[in-house]
Amino acid sequence: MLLGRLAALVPTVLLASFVVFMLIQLAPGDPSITLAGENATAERIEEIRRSLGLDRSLIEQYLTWLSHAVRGDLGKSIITQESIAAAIGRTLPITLQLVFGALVVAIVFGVIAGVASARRADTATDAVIASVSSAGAAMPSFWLGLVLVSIFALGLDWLPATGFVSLAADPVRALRHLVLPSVALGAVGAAEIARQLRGVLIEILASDYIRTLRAKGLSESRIVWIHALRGAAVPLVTIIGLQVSRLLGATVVVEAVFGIQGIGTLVVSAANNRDYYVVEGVVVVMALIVILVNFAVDVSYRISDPRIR
Amino acid sequence: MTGLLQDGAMPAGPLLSVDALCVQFDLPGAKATLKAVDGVSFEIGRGEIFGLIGESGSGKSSVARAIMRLAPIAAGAITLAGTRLDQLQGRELRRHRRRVQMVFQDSSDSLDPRMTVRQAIAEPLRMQDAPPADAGGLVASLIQRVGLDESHLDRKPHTLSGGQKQRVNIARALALSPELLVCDEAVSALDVSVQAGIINLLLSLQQELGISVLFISHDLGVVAHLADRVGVMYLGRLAEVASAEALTSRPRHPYTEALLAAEPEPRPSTHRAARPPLIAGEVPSAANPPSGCRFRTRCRYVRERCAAEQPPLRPVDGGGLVACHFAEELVLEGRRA
Amino acid sequence: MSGGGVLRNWLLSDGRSRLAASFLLAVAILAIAAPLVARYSPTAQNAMPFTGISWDHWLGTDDLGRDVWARLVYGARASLLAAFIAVGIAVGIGVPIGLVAGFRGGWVDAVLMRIVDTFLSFPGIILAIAITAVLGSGLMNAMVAVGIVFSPSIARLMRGQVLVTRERGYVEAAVSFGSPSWWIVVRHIVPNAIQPVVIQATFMLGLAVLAEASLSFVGLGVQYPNPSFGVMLRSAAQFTSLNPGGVYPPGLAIALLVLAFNALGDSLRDVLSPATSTRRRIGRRANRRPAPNPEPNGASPRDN
Repeated sequence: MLLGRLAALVPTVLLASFVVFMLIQLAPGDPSITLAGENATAERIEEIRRSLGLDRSLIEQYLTWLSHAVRGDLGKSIITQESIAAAIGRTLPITLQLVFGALVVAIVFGVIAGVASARRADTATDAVIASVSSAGAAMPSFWLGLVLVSIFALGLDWLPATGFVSLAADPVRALRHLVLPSVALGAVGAAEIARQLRGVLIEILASDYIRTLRAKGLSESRIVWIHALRGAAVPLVTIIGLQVSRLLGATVVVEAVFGIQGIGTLVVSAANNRDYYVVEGVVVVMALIVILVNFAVDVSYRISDPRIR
Repeated sequence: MTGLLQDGAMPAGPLLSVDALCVQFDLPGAKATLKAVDGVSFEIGRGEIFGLIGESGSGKSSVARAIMRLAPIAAGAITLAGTRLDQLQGRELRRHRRRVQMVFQDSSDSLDPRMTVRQAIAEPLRMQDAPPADAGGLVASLIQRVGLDESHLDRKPHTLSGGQKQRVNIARALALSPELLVCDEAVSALDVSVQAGIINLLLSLQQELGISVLFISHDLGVVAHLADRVGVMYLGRLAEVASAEALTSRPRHPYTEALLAAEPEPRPSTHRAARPPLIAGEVPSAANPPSGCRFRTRCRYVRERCAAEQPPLRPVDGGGLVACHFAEELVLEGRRA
Repeated sequence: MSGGGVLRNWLLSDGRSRLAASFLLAVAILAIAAPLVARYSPTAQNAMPFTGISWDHWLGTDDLGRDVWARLVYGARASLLAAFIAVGIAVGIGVPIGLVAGFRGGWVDAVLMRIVDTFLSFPGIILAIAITAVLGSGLMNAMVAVGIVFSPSIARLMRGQVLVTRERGYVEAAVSFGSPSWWIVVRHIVPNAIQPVVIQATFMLGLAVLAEASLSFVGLGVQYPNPSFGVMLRSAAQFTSLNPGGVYPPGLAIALLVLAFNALGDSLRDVLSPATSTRRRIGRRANRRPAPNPEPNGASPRDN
């Protein structure tokens, strides 16, 4: 049954890749002319066109691209001639570490803040958390990053301002480099999670089920942290899933702030240089990740709530 | 307005004729179909108020919606003064729609919250090929005809009470001078005191305009007061059709008798005679009705023949129609005086 | 509620929304009157870089000696314009699609929603970057891209509302007096379905400001030498060590704009459906506003 649902993703991925492919086709300019260079003869250009497969119909071109893509070959960058798949393979893990760090920040702070404001709903604490949350949600992640750099890195010199070290290579230094970008990226997520969790928890805490537990004499902390949160698990997972998609986008700019050579930087420079195939490859990979994450969230529903079967 | 000839006499023939009407819905998931209406036939004369009663699931609303062409007609014919309503399509259908208008149960839901009363009543007038010259005057006369005054015209529905909203709905339904007015549980959601007002309004409309009314309800008390003739539906078929007076005093079908007996009695409990309940059990599923006579599972007079053969709706002495094998034999109790 | 009543209620009812509305009005006025308000041209490089706050340059100068206040005010122009264009496009694309999908149903709905969902599988900024790569950079192109990226959620929202509105009694009543489909859509469905879309559009104005800032920050939006908040952040970012305070004016401007739009959106949502108010009233529980009650005022004696 799981395989069946997995198989249902395939058309979605195909449709996504088709949309991207068609989008790129709209781009002006003929890459074969660029590749042929100056003083190229018409025949040379035609030769290159044929070798790139640009003389065939759009559907054929798409199918050719697709057949290569499933084998891991996403073509070559027009500018650097590097294999796109290799470039993605190089940059994606970096971005994923960053996203992971941001998720940790978002979940930890978001849940704490959400629980705190739900427990003290309509009090001053709640109001403070709410204001901070909405402020956090309103500011651009990259601005927060800049502010953090200016205070902690340049001002206090506690943490490095730019650069990246892979967790695999040197965990301690890696963490030092990850802290600021993760906080910058994760802050908005934390605010969102806090806000939504508060709403959900308030409802749960008012339910009969919780009232019964209180009557049984369980401590409030136990009730909130173990039982109420379990009830909020499903919406929480949904929100976290949504955050992943948002984070993948926001990482683009945060990477620019911290000089991290992740997939975001890759796609931005490709866009600036009209390196269309790189953009195409990155967008398809991103879509794939988002679709997979949504699928994982879906699966987790079924595991946690058998009724949804 | 409609229905009356120059000298006040009615033209010959029934206004509405429903013939072996079948309405069915596909059930989601399972391949079964629900036959909401399974072979219903009756007539409504000009200037007549015809009541159609039944419990939930009897199919009475589906009959109304089929006549209004708001529900799909699986089989049968609906004829309005010579025109086959069930066969109309497209523009033809739209043109004939004005001849039958409906007042719905939910008075709020029927009115667009963003429109004023005036706009709501005038809306149907815009649908005609040639809107009347004095639409404003017509709207004003309509609003007064239903017992409200012109100050109500510029208000929005949410500022009106349930009874007032229903009057607005009636005014709107009358805007196109229909020949037949279908009221689908039009008073069921209103307070009893408010119901009386609407019922009196309908009676006066019948008198002044000669309009025919198909009045659908689950409340036998209300229908008996209002209607000239009444049809009783059970699980998609008609059990009995008779004049209101005959139906209430001398019912010919066990189901009618049971409905009458189930009415609350406006008497102190010390003066009520103890009576055994005449109807047992719950309404069977409409998707899977009992064989033969559908009422047999709850009928106290049931015999063998009832399971084997479905009784047809046939005339009996006294002028009514009954669908019971033993209509001539049974002596049933009507309403107590 | 009449349109005028809603507007008044929306903007003036709550302290927070009054603040937000006044702030936005102030920004709009400043942006429109930019040439009058700013003493220098935003692109003129005629002073020493990084001079601090002074009477001459209210917010100092940037790395190329341009007046920061002038760039901020002209940048507000760009950002506000960008936000309205992007949301306008999102609504212009999303509402018709949602309308057709919801009203027609069937395979049309299935196909349209499939396409819409596909667009929703891309992270927003990434898709915007891709579209900008195709269209070319510049403010207009970037905002068209953002508008396209925002349109699927508007389409989904509109479709959902149309599905609900389609089932209402007044739509059936309109059918029963022979109304043609186009009339039903225009007169009944759209006005009743559009409310949540308007609310969402208000929130999206803030998101569009953020999006413009992000795209300009990475060089894809507003191009040199024109100012926008994102562009200002881009140059401020390059020189944080020399001028750490440079990131604050544009950043705060963005944050305040977004907060203002969010506050207005919240307020609008509360006004249109008080039942779902998320407003926190600390210690003011007793003063909760009662929901509008359909009380008939002065029932006529002929009634009932």
